[in-house]
Amino acid sequence: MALRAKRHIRGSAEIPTASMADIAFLLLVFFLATTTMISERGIGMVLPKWSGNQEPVKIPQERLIKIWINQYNRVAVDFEEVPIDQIARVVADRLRADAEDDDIVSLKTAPDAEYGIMVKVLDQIEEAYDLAGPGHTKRVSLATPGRMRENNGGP
Amino acid sequence: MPKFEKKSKADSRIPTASMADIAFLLLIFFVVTTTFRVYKGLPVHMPFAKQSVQLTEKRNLAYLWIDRDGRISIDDRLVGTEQVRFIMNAKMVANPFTIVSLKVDRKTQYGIVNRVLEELRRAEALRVNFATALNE
Repeated sequence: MALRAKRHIRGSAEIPTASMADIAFLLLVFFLATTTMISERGIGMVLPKWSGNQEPVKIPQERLIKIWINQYNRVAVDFEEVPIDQIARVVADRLRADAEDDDIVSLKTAPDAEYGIMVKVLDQIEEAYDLAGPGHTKRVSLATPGRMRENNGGP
Repeated sequence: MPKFEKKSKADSRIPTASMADIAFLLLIFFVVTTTFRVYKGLPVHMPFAKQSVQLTEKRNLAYLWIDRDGRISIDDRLVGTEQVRFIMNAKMVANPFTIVSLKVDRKTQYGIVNRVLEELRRAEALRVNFATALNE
């Protein structure tokens, strides 16, 4: 009698594992379906700290690579108009010529210019640093003309 | 010959004992990597860029939308330019590693974007990301 009762308890204490895989797959399918695998891409930058009303630091003109975007979405590098897809090459040449590695790319965009053009130029600047090779520290400044304070930033 | 038959019969069974383990492994992977999309945002057409990089720190991202009419949306609320500072400052206090992802329409006027960038600097939300699309 005692032996039988023991056996009975032992039999019912087992957890059924046959459906374990089913449960796991059900949850798996749920998370598969809800996961958004849409990759988000972007160009990262670090903005400079807010300096308040302090006077901006004066930068010698020869250290600047000036890129302007006007309200008609046309782009000039150092006062010379350049097609957008040529900016990377022109800026890379300028970066290579800079031996001390202290050049700053200043991107000034008119408030009426399109944001999409500005991102395209930013993309070209990133490419220029790739073309110029290692040994060039990324220094990019974003600003609008007429404003003295600049959003200096690097990635 | 009969020996050969027996052997093949033994091999034709797929072991199912580890099935649950495999399923749970995949399950845990997806549980960990899933980040639920919280906000709908505004309809924007992203600008194109080739040199963009894939974002990996999704949990640290705070989104900010600007559509082509210059409307700014954070957390599915339309906000004014001057409110960006306070909202983003609160986000930076909650998570100092916040990266602000700017989802701006490519036809937006740059002046609005510049004002938002200045507000972000005041909020000390200095790490930003210009969201882009890869193909035209």
